[in-house]
Amino acid sequence: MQITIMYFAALKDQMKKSEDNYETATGATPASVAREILGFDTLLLFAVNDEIVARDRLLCDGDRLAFIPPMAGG
Amino acid sequence: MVTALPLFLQWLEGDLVLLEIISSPIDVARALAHVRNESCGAVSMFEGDIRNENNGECVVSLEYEVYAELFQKEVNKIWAEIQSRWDIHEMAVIQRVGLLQPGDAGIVICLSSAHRRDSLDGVSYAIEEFKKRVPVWKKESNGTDEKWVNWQPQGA
Repeated sequence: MQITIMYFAALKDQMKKSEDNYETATGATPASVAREILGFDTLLLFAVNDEIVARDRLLCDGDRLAFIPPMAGG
Repeated sequence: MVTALPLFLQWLEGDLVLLEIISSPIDVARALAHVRNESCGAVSMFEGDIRNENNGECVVSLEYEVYAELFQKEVNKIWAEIQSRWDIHEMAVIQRVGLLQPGDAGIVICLSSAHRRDSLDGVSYAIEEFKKRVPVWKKESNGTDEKWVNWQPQGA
């Protein structure tokens, strides 16, 4: 299945892009995709289709998955 | 005066909430004007400004980045929580993005209420929740090096 990955802040700098299409297997989760692409899944929150989700939520074809580094607002 | 061109703009519930993400300087008077109402005896505001140092290091600039769609959703949730806890009339939130220098305002949150305690407590709650839950990131520069605040590079 194909999903869209969104990168922000440090991850956008690291990946040198803000968005990418990604082919992954059925049964993939935000954490498993982060490990596949980034090599780690710690420290991150995950959003799917603009909602914060659990790291082990099953992804669906067409989902937009955002890797969210630690926030620093205010 | 610089005219703010919102990258993202939202009004909720009959203009009770003003929410903007902008790349130009924040017009504090505009935020205050939005929440003022004849039924309200109190307006409370938090303005988050860029400091010229952080943890003993000089800060020359900060680059703000937001995830706008999630920002909107989290602000809506925080607004609902504030309304459930305090008697708040209106809220205005203006978030700046892009490159900021010391002295610039990065965020302004204004609340109005009939009595002061509601808006004072509400604005304090709002900024604490913003810092924890609203997807905003800052890249700090000391003029030589840059780093993302709260981020340690992870090994593959």
